[in-house]
Amino acid sequence: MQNSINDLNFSTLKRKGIVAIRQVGDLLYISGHGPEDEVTGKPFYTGRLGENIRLEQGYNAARICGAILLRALEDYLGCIDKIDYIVKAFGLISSAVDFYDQEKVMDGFSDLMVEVLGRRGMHARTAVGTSNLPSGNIPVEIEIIVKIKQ
Amino acid sequence: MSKLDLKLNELEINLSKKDRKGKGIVTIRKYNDLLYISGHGPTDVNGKPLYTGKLGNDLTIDEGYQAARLCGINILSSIADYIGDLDRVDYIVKALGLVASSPDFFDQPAVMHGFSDLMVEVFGERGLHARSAMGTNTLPDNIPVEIELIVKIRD
Repeated sequence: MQNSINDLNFSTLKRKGIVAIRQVGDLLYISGHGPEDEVTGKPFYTGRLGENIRLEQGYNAARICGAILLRALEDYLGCIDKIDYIVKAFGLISSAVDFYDQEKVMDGFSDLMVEVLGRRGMHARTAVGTSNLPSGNIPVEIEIIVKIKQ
Repeated sequence: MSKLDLKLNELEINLSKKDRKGKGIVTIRKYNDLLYISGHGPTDVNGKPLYTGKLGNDLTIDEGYQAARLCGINILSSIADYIGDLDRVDYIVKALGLVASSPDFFDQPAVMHGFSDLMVEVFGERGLHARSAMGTNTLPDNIPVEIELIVKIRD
């Protein structure tokens, strides 16, 4: 993982009614995470793809979402070795109406999962465009389901 | 030929082999007896969209319906590739349908019926499923419909 990502101080989401991770048996349902500092809430990237943020920036934003999700998993599990495999990812990409490369943006997340977890990082995936996302106009939000070892 | 293959023949639905895997992505991830299936679009075998555009702008509801049906056919192809025999599908659990829509288009469920009708034609009661349909401003490759699915299989 990039040093810049390692240096960031992430904590799990704690807001009224929301938890970062809900466990059912050996499945973890993980809330949508954006490319934002989990302590200050400040986004590392803002904007819409096809409007005011480039594809490479979108890719990096998705990669940072992936790093934050892994950190949330590490917080929860103690160690990411306890991840059996990534089941499924759902990626929302804030997009101009004529932007159609959502899959390429989401590759930032998917590439990171395989770099970190190898074959265990492979997952089913849906990438969709949307007109706007929360937290001060983040470009990407990703939720995942993870199978853990028990 | 399985019972289901016969049924598909009767409906004149040809399931084709295809591989849309990119790095890190698989079409289907299995968890116990559940299949989590990636979002599928109305594409041909090579992943080329056969429908493009947005409902309310470029496509009629009927075209959207046909696009959703084609998503369903592509998903059945992927399941058949993965488990070999579609008779092993126990039932469809849940579908999420995303419909690329102009801001004043509100008939997303009518579009998604193209998928849901197909599931019931193919699987009968086993094809019944929970479903969400939602509009969005744009989808990958300008496809009008994208559908992801959770399926229960017989282990």
